[in-house]
Amino acid sequence: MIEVYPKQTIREKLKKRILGPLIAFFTVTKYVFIKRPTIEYPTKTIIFPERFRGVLEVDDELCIGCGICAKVCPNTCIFMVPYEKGKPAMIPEIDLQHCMYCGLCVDYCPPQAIYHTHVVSIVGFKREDLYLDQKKVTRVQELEYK
Amino acid sequence: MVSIQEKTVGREVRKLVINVGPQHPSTHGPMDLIITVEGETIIDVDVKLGYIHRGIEKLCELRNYFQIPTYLNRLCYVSGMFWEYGFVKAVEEIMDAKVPERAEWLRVIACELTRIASHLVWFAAFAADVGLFTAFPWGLRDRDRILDLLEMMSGQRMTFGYFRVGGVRYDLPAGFHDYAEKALNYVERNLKDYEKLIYENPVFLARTVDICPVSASKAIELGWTGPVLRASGVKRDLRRDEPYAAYEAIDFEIPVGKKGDTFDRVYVRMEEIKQSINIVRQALKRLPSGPYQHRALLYPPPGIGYGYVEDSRGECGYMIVSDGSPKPYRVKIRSPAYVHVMSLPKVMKGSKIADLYAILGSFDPCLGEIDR
Amino acid sequence: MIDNIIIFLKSYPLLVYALRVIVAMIFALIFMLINALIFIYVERKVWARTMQRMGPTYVGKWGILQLIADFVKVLNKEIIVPAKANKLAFLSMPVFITGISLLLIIIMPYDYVVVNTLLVLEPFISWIGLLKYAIVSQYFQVGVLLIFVILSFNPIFILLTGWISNNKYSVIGGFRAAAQLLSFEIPFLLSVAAVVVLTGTLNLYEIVEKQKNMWLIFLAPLTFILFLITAIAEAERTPFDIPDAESEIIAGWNTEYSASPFLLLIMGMYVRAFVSATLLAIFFFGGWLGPTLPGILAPVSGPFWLMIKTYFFMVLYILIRAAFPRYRIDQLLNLSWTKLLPLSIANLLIVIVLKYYLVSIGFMS
Repeated sequence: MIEVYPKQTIREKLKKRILGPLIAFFTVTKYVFIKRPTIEYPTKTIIFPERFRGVLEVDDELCIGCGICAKVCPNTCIFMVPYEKGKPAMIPEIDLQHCMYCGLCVDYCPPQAIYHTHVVSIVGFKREDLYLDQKKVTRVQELEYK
Repeated sequence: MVSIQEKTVGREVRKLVINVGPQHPSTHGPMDLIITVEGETIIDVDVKLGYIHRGIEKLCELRNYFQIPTYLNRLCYVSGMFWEYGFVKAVEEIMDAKVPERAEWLRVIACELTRIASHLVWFAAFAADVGLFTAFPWGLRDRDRILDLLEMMSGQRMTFGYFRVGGVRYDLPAGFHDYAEKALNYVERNLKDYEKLIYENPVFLARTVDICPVSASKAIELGWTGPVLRASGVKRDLRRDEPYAAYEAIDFEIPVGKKGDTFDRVYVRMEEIKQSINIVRQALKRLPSGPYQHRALLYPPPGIGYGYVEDSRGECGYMIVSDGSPKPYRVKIRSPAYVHVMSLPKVMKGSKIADLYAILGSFDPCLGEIDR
Repeated sequence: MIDNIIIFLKSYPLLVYALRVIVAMIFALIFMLINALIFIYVERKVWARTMQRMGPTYVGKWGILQLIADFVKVLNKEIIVPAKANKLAFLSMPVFITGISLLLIIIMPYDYVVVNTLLVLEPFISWIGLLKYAIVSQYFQVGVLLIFVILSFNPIFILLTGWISNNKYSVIGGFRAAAQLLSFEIPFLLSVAAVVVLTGTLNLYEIVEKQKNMWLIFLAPLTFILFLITAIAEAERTPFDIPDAESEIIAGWNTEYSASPFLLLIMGMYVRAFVSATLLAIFFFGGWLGPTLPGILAPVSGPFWLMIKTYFFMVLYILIRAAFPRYRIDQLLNLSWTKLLPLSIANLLIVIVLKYYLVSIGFMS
């Protein structure tokens, strides 16, 4: 363990007083010459693992309009609305401001129609930008990476 | 304006009341300390909490049992896995549910990785409080590697949502073992640099040795748990005394301090990081195969259960009263940092005002769990 | 036409003296401002490197224009004066502090640096040779004493600034800063006294001349260490930076200052730090002595070596700031009175004995 507690001779104390700051100083100086592990976001980004829970997206070919995702959501941020294309009859609309990205809707969806993408920037100038209505909820990745 | 002249009537110096306001320069959180100072020594401390109270205990009464663990990792946002685990343990106690073996080992890995992450952010914040700003990004850089591991396991870096009643939510992904080995080696190598920077530095030792010592009997009397209690000399750890998950089969040591001053608390936490790395390595080697989730009932029968785990700050516990409906009747959360912070008035009398941030940092308050 | 000007000027000698001093002051001021900016930029970059991150990179290539952007931003802010404070006194305090710190630049050999750099152009433009008369700092026969007199004005003004702000924390902060500066001045002066004993003169130029045979750091290393520690304390940098620390409770005699006055105070602090780095280079490392640069750059060799040594000490200050936490105020005063003061007195006695020995063997006259 570190020799702070036992009784120290004057010689050991002096050695600690002089060597101590030098060791600390050279430990810090070493870092001036080492490569830095930072990246310059937003020109470069990292690669997310495939399990990462980003913004939700709905595939309207698989959705059956059962509404389980709206019932399961803890924050009630999914609303079922009539779909204009007719098939499925109802499609979820997602409010991104209240979504916790917990993934319960993804776990409990029977046809696995709702899934997480790797989109992470949730920004907008108006509140309507952060509400995925039925036109946007099927095209999240396309709108983001255009 | 308070007049600066000292009223020397019968050698009595006028007292000064200072408000160490809700904003702190470090990542503690909003907490108001009103200290009464006489000269340079602190006479009295008044702690005012409630700036981040979100009503989580009431919220739990309005949500179903499978929806609640998604909220609970936000209690202490720095060490989120423990707070989900306590709840899940309490529900399993009421239900008498069986957890498969692989799930127990995965839970150990998740908990210990979170403990490393929590202690690293404590180290960064404590160094920044004392004045050593270079250690702040170092701690966060290492924590980033551990959060990468947790992200591979559970999908998110802070709000995990990993624990389910009867097991865990996902299995380990492919390539986890190699990545974990690299990340743990990296953290262990950098720990040596931290020790060189801290333990040999005469300024750091002057700021932390013999500051605010607390004896073992006083610590037990005040109800402390966790690293703060172990720094005062009491050898109590829930993983050893009342083992849960797979801790009985793992071989690790428990660091104990001698005097209970600030340096001992720093030392105990740094040693705990090393022991946690050791535990994760053992668990990764001995992971059994099998299912990772048992299908459990959606909600437990009526009863009372208390689930407690050894959090990075102490013993965190949940008392759940269920009455047979899909939503719990009452959830009471025991937060260890609350006990530590509310015992500050008894412990800080007689210290100097310039030591306030060092002592507060060594107690490691996380305001999310104190105010709930 | 130049001959006519010279004949005119020769009949008014006082005007010539005034012109020389004014030109020297302008050169020194411009040089100091540019170097304070360089100091802040290098500090941000090197400190970021020890933390394993980059400093400013976005504004201008390598982030050079970041400081100018900050400067313009600060000028846009509102100057707030506390309600019950005396407005004239409140706003004039930063001017006094920075003004007195800027008096140092005429005594330090910065005009020598600028003039010699400009003399490179002598083969091309003939009248630049006249600038040789603009070096004023070599005539200060008691330069060292003047520097320390000016540096010792600081505690008084800092105390006044804390008092004027009408804020109980500023007053206490002002008292602490004044206590720290006063208690570190005695070891500071004693270590400088050791240097003066070794070289026998108070003139900065002659101190450098006396180091031709051997630099003073090899003769008196203990003096160097003492001077380094006390210079960091006088410049109010970590580990002694309680007066303007962000994470101490009662700190900050300058909390009430907002936009341009705050900028003046910061600049004063960096001017003092730069001056103490230059003093380290002059006293112990031989100032501008070094091998001469070849060819046309021959006049620049003096300033070149002086600046290299000054920048080396600048980087040393920044690395010391990165490696050590902050002392508590009573531990700081304890350090100064019980450890540094006896050490500096002992150091002075050792240096006196050393000087007798050196004179007896004829090493240094």
